[in-house]
Amino acid sequence: MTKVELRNVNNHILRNVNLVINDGEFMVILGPNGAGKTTLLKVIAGFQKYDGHVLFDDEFIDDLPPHKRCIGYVPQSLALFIHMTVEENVAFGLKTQKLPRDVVKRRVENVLELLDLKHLRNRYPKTLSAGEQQKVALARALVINPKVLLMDEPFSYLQSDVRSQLRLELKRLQRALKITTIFVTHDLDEAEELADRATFLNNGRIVATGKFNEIMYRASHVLKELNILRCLVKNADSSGIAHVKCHGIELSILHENPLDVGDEVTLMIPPNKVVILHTKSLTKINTYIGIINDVHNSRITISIGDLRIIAYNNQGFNLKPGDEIYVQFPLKHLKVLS
Amino acid sequence: MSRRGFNAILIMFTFTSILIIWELIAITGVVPTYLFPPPSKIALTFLHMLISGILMKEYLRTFIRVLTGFFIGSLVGLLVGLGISCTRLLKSITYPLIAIAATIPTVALVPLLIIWVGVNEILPIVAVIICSSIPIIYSIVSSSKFIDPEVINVAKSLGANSRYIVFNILLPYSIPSILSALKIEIAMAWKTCFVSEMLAMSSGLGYFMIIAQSTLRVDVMLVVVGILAISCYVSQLIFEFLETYIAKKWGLR
Repeated sequence: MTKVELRNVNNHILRNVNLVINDGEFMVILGPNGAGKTTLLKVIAGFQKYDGHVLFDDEFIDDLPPHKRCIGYVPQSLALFIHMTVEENVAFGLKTQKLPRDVVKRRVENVLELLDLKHLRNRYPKTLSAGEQQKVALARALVINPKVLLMDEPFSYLQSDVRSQLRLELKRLQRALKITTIFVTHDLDEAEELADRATFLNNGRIVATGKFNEIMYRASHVLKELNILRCLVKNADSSGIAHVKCHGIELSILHENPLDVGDEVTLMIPPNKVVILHTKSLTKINTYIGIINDVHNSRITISIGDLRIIAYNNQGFNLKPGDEIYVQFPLKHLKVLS
Repeated sequence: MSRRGFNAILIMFTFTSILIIWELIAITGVVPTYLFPPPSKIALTFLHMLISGILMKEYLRTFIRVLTGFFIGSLVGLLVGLGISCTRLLKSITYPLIAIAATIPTVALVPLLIIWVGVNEILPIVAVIICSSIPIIYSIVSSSKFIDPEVINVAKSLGANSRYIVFNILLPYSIPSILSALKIEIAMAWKTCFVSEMLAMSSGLGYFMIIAQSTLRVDVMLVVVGILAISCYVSQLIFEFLETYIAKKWGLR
């Protein structure tokens, strides 16, 4: 368990970053592409130069080279050593410390057991599935008992079922080991599920830090791409479904916290979760007719009354500005931010 | 019948047909046999040279030169290549030079080497050293240029210092490209050694070739060429086997 602190960190991308990650905390770093999420991780790991200070448990580690920082690092590409078996990959971080052979064997064994990788120990990384490779990368990082675990969009190449399964496993492990974890992603579902707290970065600056829903609300002005809707509650009952009015249309939403009539709520739906249809679907909930304003490759903007929505034309419909189309906001993807 | 078996039979058939046609042409006397000896004559010459021991003697000379030069050259290539890959500055400065040097056929350097090294036992070895070291340097430096920087980062985060990374990451990562370079270069090593023997030495297969030429023994010349070709081919097969073995083991193909 280690507390990680960044004080006035600046470099070619980061601008005056101050951030405290408490010991044992799962911190998710969110932000658009090029916001500096990966750079932030690399600064903590010592791979990139910076001005300012990084502290582990209130001790300055700025002068420590990467190999002395005791960090578990899982990059987006995973970077498994292709010439080593699973077992050798996991043992790498212990062999560099020249530990006795039996200690290495025991600790590798423990981690393989923990991640259920024992049956793959003699396989080479390129012969494993994406999910298995993911677990090996995690095992390799965990075996050294790192002070902090840094993960850079590690699940981005996985299919969604494997992804959610690994997410659960990661969260379980992180709870059990109480390891301070900093996790970069741009998947909001992933962030919401994993984060104890989250930080939103934009243009190298921290926009907001806090609970997921809080920061999404505070970061909403930079989240134009995320369809932020400000609405008024029309009625709410104990069933967990409320009806809100929003730019002239009425939406049904799921809510966990009690809402009162007249409350103002902020909703969010990522463009890839907005469903577009040529014909009206069977489920009539939250389905409206919109007019296409703009088509840019698969990204389209749609007007529904006063409301402007961004969506993706993933089905490959032949669309042009002025066309009418049905737009559906699936209940489960309409997130209440405040 | 399997496709492989069918192919083997086809190859054998083609090969035997060529030999038979060749033999027939010689028998009909269309061309004089001393210029164009039939396969039977060549085979007899080969047996005669083998029994008299003269072939083995010259072959061993060449074999030892190739082996010594290739071994030293690979070692030098390995060390220099890794040394250059360690420092980013050195790498960016030397990379274009090495890339150009790798394109020069060493055979073209032999006349120059005769002047610099002189006509002695070291000449063919030096030629082979040059021809085998530069491609290895080139493949190590270029594969270290294209290695995923995150692999190095992860190794660092796991406590590896620069030296550890060079020997445990950089070197193994360049093995596939080193092997494919060696596969081509081992054949070049034979050819380079042969040419330098032809031009300057008084022993070895290349020298034997020149002697045979001066006495117009075309059959002997063809035996020597055949042996050179088989030596190149077999040594290439060895590296090809290693290359496939590594690629399969690591799951690269």
